[in-house]
Amino acid sequence: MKLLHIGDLHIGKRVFECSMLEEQKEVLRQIIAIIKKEKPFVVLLAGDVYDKGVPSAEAVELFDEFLTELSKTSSNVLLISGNHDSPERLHFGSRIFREQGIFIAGTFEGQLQKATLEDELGTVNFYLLPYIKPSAVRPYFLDKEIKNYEDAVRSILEAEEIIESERNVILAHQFVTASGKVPERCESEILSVGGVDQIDAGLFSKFDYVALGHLHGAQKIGRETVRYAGSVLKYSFSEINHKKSVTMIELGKKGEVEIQLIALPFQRDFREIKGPLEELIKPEIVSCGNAEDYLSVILTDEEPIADPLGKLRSRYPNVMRLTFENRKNSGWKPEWSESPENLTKKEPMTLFEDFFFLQNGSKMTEQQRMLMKDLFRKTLGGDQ
Amino acid sequence: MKPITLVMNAYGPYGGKVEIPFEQLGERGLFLITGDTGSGKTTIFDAITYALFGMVSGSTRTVNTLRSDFALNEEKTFVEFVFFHKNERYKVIRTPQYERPKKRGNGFVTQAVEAELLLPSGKVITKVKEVDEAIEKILGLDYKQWIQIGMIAQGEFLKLLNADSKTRSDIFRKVFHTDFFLNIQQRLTQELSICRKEKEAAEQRLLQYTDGILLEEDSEKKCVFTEWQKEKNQYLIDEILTLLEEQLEEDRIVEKHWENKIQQYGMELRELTRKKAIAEESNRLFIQLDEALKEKTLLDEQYDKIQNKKQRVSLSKIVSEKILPLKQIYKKSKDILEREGLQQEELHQKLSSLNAIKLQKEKSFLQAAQMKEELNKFIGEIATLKERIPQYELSEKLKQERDRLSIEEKRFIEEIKKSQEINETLKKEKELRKDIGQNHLSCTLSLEKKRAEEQKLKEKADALSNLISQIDHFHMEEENYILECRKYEMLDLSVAELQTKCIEEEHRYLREQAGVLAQTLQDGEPCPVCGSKEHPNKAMVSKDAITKEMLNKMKQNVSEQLKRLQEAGNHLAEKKERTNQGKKQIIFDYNKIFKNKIKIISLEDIKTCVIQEEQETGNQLTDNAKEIISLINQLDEILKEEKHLQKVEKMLLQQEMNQAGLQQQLQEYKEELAALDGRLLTIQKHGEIKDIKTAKQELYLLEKKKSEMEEIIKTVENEYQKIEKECYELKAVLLEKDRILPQMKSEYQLAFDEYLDALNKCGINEEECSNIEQNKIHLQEEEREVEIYDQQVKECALLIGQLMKQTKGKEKISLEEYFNQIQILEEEDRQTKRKKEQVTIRLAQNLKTKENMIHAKNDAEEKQQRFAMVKELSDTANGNLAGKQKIAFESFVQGAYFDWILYHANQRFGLMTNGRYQLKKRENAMDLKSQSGLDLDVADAYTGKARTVKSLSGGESFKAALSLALGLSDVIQSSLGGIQMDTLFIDEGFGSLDSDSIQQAMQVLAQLTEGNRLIGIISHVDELKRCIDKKIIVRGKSIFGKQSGSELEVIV
Repeated sequence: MKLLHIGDLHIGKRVFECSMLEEQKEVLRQIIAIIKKEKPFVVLLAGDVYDKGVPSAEAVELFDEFLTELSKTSSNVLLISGNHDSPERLHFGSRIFREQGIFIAGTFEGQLQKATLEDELGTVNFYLLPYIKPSAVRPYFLDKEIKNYEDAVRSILEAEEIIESERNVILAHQFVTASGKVPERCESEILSVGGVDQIDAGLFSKFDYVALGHLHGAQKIGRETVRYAGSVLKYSFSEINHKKSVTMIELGKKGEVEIQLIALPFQRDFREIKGPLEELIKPEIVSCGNAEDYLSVILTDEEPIADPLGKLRSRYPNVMRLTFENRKNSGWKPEWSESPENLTKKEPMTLFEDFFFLQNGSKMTEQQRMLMKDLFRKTLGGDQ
Repeated sequence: MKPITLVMNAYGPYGGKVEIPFEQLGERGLFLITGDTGSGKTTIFDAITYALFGMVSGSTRTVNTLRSDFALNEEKTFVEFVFFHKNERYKVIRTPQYERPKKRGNGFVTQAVEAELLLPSGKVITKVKEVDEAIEKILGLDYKQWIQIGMIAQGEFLKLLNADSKTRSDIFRKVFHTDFFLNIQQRLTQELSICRKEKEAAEQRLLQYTDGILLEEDSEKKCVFTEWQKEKNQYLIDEILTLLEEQLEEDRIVEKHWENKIQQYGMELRELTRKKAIAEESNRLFIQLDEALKEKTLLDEQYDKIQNKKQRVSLSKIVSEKILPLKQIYKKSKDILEREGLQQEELHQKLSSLNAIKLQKEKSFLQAAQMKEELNKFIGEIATLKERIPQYELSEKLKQERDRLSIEEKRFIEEIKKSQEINETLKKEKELRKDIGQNHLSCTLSLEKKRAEEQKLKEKADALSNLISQIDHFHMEEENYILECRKYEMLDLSVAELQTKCIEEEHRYLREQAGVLAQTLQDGEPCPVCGSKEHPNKAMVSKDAITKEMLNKMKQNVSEQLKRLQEAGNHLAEKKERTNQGKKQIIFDYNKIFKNKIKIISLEDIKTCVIQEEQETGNQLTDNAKEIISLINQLDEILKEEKHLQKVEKMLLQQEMNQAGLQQQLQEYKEELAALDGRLLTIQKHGEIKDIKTAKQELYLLEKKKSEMEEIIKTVENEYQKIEKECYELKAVLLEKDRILPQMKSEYQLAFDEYLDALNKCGINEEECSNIEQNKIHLQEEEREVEIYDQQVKECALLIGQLMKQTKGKEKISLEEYFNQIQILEEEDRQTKRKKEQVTIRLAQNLKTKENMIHAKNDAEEKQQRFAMVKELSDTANGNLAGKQKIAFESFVQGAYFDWILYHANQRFGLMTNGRYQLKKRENAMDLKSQSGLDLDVADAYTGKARTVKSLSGGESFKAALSLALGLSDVIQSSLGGIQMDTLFIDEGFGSLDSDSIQQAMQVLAQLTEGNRLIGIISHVDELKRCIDKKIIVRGKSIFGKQSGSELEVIV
């Protein structure tokens, strides 16, 4: 059975206040083309469909377009909600969609949703686990102690009867690690604020393939068959070196899994350029790459420049970020080489000498110094 | 400072008691307080601030509005806050001032402000002021600092951002304690004003001294000086000094000149006076001579009188020397004689009286002898009595012992009786509890029985529920089966269709064969079918002819489908088998349980029966349980009774032992008593026993009488003996006196004769003699007069002789001329002296003035110099330098802190704005008029320029303010060491951010919590609700649509 594993679409996302909708439209079209060519039996969408809980109208339109195209193909579609989606909203119409072969698991209602599909080799059980938080799981397992995400997922899996003789696939959207090793992270993922959300990959040992979403870099966790599909587009400058792809899986008999990555083409890349302004706007430099790419520009000019952004945007219309890296800014620390606690300990006399010099341009006379010393002593004594 | 629990009662919008367990939210991380508008989110932060400092956060709410209007009248308003600080646990409770109705009567009474602080040591502080101070000391922050760094309140965060230099300076002063530098500034200002005063005083003094300058009248100098005095220009003082110098020089010269003149005059005067003295001297001698001659004549006149006196004197002398002593001797002996005679008479009288007394005394002496006999008798009695007394004492003691013992005996008898009574009661109790053993046994048995029953019933119930689930399962299976049946039917239909279609096609095909065949037909050739050679109407090949392959395929398809149908049919049959089996199983189980009690009709009936049975079983179980409980209770009681019985038996044993002991003691006492009685009897045998007291008294009286008698006897004897002695002595004296009388008489006669003789010799009689005696005093006077006269005469003569010699050859001289000369000279001298004096005075004063002035001038110069120096320092320190930026010393130091704050703030601000903005301190003031040094600008990377912070938008301002507050908090903690801000609260502000900015802000805050910090956020923004797991949701509670205060819910 052929499976196509994608995830983290983040439809409607804005990166540095630029809308990525056009890019997303294009890449989803590409994905539909791949599906039509490869004809997978099931398309697995592993969460983070939208970027916000209440997505914008254009985003909903785009997803509607995508889903309709999907339904026209012969593949079944299984999708779950991620941490960016609003579970209830994504769950809308799921029972009606089921008849069209589209299974949506938005909310968690105590049990895993299961879809059993047959192929010539037998049944394949698909389990859908939407993004859960421990607090949402606790009400269903009152007799168990659920302190973190790992406990929650374990309790859910233990309550399920998984027939190990058959092939089992699970679709989940969590932060999974393997024996404590932290996987590759990027800036565009959002951490759960204030919680410990790591889940060990060992919990999914009974499943032949674990289709994960959440991290934006395509990678395996622990064993080959536990994979993140990765995001379909680059969404931050930390992903510059990623190659975005979709994952094709071939399920043979029990225990045989073949995996292949199909690259996704893109129109505009994420790049980073660095140098003095004058150099960067020269035509031969501009033509080195696609001038319409999304750029993070680092200017190394030492002197202050007037309206750098305007000048850059005239050549590179999609400059997203502008930073300066020069002697002044790098490692700039206040002129006072002491830290605040040393400042408080610094002799008032020295402070006053510096201050005097700063204001008058000359040093104090001996007489003045004596007077100030006396004054400091008296004030200190008076204070105590 | 980590909050642990917060309890609010009737506070703000919370009508009842509300408790927030902060510890459930963990020790670090973010938590969110969210809810409807006006439901009481900010109140939670207010409550914490109020509990700690007695004041509320923000400047828009006041302390008097704290009591909840939703509260019932009896409810007290208070806030209780428990927090951890440096691993110590503190608890503070505060009550604001509010009005509540009186507990008795009508009207309202004001509940006063109260505060209470419980320290980890257990000590409690209860006065409001003390509590405030204690908390400030514990936390190291006061209210102002707290609202800057611990709590970023709604609308307040912009204040720090948009404040001007001065306000910021005030805030920093409070937070970094830079008042030391402010003090220095103020002290310098003070010092400056002191210096100024001194300088002016010195200058004033200098000018004053100039008043003491004396210059020569009508001189040029005086004009110049008077001119100067009109204005008293300080800077011309030097010239005045030179004037003074000149004057001094001149005066010195003049003075010398006069000095010389005076000396000259002096000499001349002395010469003249000498001459005058000599002349006077000689004149005087002449006068003296005249006087002496006069005196001599006087003396000569007195010569005769003096001669008489001389004679008288010599006569008196003789008399006193010779006659008077004799007279005295004669008088003395006469006296002695007379005295002797008197004495003798006295002595005779005395003797006679003494004799009378002596007779009396003899009588009493005889009496005394008689008394002595009685005395001996008494002595005997006393002795016997003394012997008997100790024996009496012994008998008394014995009697006492006996009494005591009899009392003890009685006591023991009583005790024995008592113990016997107790025995009786105990035995009765023992009787009552005879049957306990039996009860115990029966109870345990029945308990076991009931327990067994319970077990059985439980098993039954389990079986029943099992059965029910089986039935359900069976139903489900049945349904599935029906579905499958239907599917099968559909499939069947479709297959049938296909088949008919196939057949049709086959027919078609076959028909087509005709066409195909027809194609090969040629006229003249026989048709293979009918054999005719003519083919008028050939069969046509239809357009959509179906090939054999297609037909085969179809057939295959049909067969496939048929196979499938069969499969489905098999499958269905299997299923049916299974369901039937299932049903059988159920019926079997049912029979097992019910043992065919009721006739079976259908599964439904079975189910209802089972349910019923289950219920019954359930009831039975509960009944059983109740019985078991009651049995257990019974058992407990029985056990209690058993224990009591054991105790009783023990006590009984003890009593019996006691009794035995008592009996023994009683026996002992009785024996002792018998012994005592025996001894008493022996004593009585010796004689009547008298009371000791009376015996002693008798003894005492006897002894007294004895001593009295002895005394009387003694006195009488003594007196008699004394009298006898006196008589004897007197007699002896008398004899002696008689003997010497005649001797005295003869002596007297002799003396008298001698005296008469002497009188005759001088030729005077006794009268004259006595006269002379009386005038002795006058005698001495006259003698002296004579002497003086003689001396005077002698002296006079001598003097005259001298003077005669001295005045030989001299004459009187007139002194007139001398007088005149001297007078003139003296006049001139005086004048000169006066002039000189003037000059001297002037000179002295001027000298002194000059000294003072020079002294004062130096002083003034010194003070001026010092003033200039201090002024420079003060201006620098206070930022008052002209033409330079007005930065005070304190601001300068604060500027350093400010740099650090901005450094820390920029790290976060850059993150939140994707590196676009940085906060910067304004280097040069916009104007040189107002105090500067702490102004804030924001540097925009996109434009490369810096502009004022007031140009930031609302959301950007919030980011800037948040970064600034966090930077401030960082620097405060690192510089002040002791302050630990583990908790931070942010009230609103996130509403003005778009979703990307919210994500960035959340990132920044999430970073903060890594340092073991707890950050609380109040916001109503949805994204935060989703992102943050730990929440406190505040709802305005409404019962039946009426608002009655808020309530909250904690989600972890």
